[in-house]
Amino acid sequence: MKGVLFSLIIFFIAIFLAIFLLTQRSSVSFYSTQKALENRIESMLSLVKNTFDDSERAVEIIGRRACVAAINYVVTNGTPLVSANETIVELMVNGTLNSTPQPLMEYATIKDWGDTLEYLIETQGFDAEIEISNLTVSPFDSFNLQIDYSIKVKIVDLKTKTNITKLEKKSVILNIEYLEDPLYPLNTYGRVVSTIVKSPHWLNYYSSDTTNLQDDLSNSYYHPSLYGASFLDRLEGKYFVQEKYRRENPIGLESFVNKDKILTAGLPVSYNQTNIDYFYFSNANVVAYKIVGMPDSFRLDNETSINGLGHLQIYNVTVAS
Amino acid sequence: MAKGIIFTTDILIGIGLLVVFILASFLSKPETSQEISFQTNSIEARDIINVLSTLKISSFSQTPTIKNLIENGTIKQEDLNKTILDLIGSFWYSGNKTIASNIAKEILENITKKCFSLQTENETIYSSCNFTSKTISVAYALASGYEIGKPVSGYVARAWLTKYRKNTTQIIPFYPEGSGWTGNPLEVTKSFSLPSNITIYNATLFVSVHFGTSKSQAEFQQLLVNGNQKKGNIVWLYLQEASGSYGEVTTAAYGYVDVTNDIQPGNNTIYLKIGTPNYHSHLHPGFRLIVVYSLTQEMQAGSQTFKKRYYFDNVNGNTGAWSMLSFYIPENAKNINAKLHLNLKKVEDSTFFGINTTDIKIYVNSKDPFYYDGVNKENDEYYCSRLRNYYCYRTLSSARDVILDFDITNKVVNGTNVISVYVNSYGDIHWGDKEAIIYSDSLNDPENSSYVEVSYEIDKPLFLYGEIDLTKEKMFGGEASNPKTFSFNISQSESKIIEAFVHIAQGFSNMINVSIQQPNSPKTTVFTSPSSRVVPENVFVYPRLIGSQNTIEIVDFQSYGGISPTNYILPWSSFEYTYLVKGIVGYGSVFNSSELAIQDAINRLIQQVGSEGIAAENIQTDTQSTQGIKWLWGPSLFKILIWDKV
Repeated sequence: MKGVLFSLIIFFIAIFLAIFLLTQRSSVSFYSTQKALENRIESMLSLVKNTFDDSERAVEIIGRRACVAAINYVVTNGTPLVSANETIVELMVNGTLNSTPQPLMEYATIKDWGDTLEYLIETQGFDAEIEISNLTVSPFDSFNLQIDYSIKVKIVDLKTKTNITKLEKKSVILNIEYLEDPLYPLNTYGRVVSTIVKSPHWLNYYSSDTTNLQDDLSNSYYHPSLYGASFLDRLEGKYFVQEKYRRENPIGLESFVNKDKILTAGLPVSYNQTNIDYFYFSNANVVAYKIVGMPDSFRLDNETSINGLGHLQIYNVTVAS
Repeated sequence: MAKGIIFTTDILIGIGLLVVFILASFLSKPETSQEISFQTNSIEARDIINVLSTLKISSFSQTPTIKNLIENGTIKQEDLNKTILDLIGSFWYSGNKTIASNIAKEILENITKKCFSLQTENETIYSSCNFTSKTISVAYALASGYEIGKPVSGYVARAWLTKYRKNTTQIIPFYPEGSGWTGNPLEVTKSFSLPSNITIYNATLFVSVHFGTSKSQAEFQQLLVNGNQKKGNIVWLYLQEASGSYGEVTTAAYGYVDVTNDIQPGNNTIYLKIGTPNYHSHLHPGFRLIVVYSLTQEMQAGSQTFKKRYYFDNVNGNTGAWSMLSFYIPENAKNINAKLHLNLKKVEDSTFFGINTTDIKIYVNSKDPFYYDGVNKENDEYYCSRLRNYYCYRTLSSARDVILDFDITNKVVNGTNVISVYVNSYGDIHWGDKEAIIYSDSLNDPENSSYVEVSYEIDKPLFLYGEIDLTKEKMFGGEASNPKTFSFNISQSESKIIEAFVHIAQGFSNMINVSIQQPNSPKTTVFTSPSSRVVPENVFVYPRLIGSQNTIEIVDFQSYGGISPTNYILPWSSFEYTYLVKGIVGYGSVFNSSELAIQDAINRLIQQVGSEGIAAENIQTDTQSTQGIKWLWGPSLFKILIWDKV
């Protein structure tokens, strides 16, 4: 009787152990399935994040190429753009300018990036839809543009029948340094060129030593300006910041026109005109002063530049008597 | 005993089950452990990829390789804001694999103590240990702008001509003018200036005259090109005889003479002396000099303000002199101003029974005279005591010089303008005792010469910067006929036409109508003679009327409207057009270096202008390159693999 009891006890223990083992095995299997699903979802989330992150990089690359294509159009045709910001958007989205394809934008449009990325995501076993919309270009400050856009990414995993859709608004700051200033060719029949490079001496000018100012003149370095045309204004052939681009912070640019370069290019030189580019090219009627320590042909006006200061104060110069 | 066996068996079964349980538990443990390790590594891999794609170079400026790169200027101030992944990718894809590998090593070995490998596109950038683990965790990041063997960023360049040598054509028209009456000669002197820095390849003088009989051409007395006698060198292409009102036979003749060796850069003079025994000798439409030369020029911008002076040829008639000068004003010209200055020498004042008859008549785009100095504006034949062999007998006073100045602004039109000046003659009638001169010496005495001066403005320059003007001529060819049509194509590269003229070559002529049309478009008239014998040497064609396929029609008609049956338009009529070629190329492909981009731009420019006959060795260029143009390669997949050290 006892033996039967012990046997039953052993039997039940064995049954319990068997059930325990089966349950554990099943739990591990379930856990693994869950983990696999979790990994797929994590992969999808990772792809979405990567897409969002890479979109900034792509927009920066595409945006700079679009700026170069826009400059190219202006300086080769001698025709300013009607609406520079809208033209850059057209170039980024469609690769065209006034509906004409631009070679520089070949395989470098927003659509090209989206298509390639969708394909790449598909090679990882997902379906993807990437859409960039509401793209706008505006000045950020004197040396940067701001590109705003909305990006929507939808990734579908057909195996696990899961999908993720995410929408984000993004903003990319695009540096315009080392791009060509279209205002120079437009006003010199294409004979004089100038590259936008921020002055390394900005706000480091001394009336007793004009070395920095002379360096800015000989290199046509650029400075922030309150009224001088911004990069987008310059693409439109404008000399002053237009209301449509104006921001609270200064967005304009100014450089010193190198009158020797103008002369070498065989163009008439306005020796008595200020060297500030937007005044010089617009033939603005502003009083211009000879400056101590600067070449004879150099003139500077005292119109407001930035921070409420006139050019004479900003560049810290002494007017020659 | 049996109980003992049962207990023992139970115990053994129990122990067996316990062993199975323990073994099962033991065997299941490593799986759980591996799972946990995998999870840990996955999280770490994701963290690392986040670090690489988020943190900026400036955060790792003290790591040896980056510090060194900053110090030697490879990494510039503006690069410090780039991400580490960007930096590694830039070096790796641009071929600097060791640098990329070192940066990855120095940064990642400080972040994790586990085994790791950074890879991209199946290439390993850096791996800290050999793969020994069964489980490897992977995290990845996407980055556009990279592709194996392709540079990350590069340069674009554009180029433009600053100086070039072009082959072009210049046509110098001789105006229809006369005349030498009944054995007296007509002397015409054409003075003109060609650019001084040219190389002349060909100069052909087309001669279109009305002179003596075709048999002897005895009245073709002289043709001096810069003093060289060329009258014996003319190749006569067309001779058409006609009988006049008094039975005299005269000839309309058309020919050409090669004057390549006679025409020179700078100032030139062509002198012509012809006559006819019984009628009046004169020049017909189509008399022109065509010079093909190469010219070295600096790039220039088109003007919006124009002031042009069209000089008359010096016409020494006997008796009576006349000339019909033509000039053009563009379609969109505004603020037009035109003045006529005439220096007429040896004008003989005539009277008829005390009536002051007209001796000078000027017509400006009209059949009615703009100016006449006597009582009669027409009907000269009624004011003759006797009309014999076209000579009108009147009472003559001593010859005098007359200078006349007129503002003809209100009379000029956009398009072709014709000014006819008659002195002691009109139509088939002449009077006077001796010679009369329409004086002109544009080279030596420009202010005292006879001329028309026109000034006007246009809204935008004909040339934008970077554009070169080239002039070509297309001969009509075919047979002499009336009407005559000429069909021609304008290629795409020639499509930016800024000026175009039809040069009319005729034997006998009366009034003409010139029109142009494109396929499936209506015909557009570009010029109609205002009166008889107003057939200019050249007719201006508005550039907007010229398409890729064109047909020009010239019809000589009578004043009553019918077609002149024997006034043929000759095959040596031509279409002259000036078009613009771009002497500038924009930004092209992206290159690894500024030098390569600039060379590409120059090559493109040479190819572009070379197709229009501007040779590479004769050009000077300027260039502008822009840096930092990134490609949209990829996107590329960067992977970080993490596994446990064994």
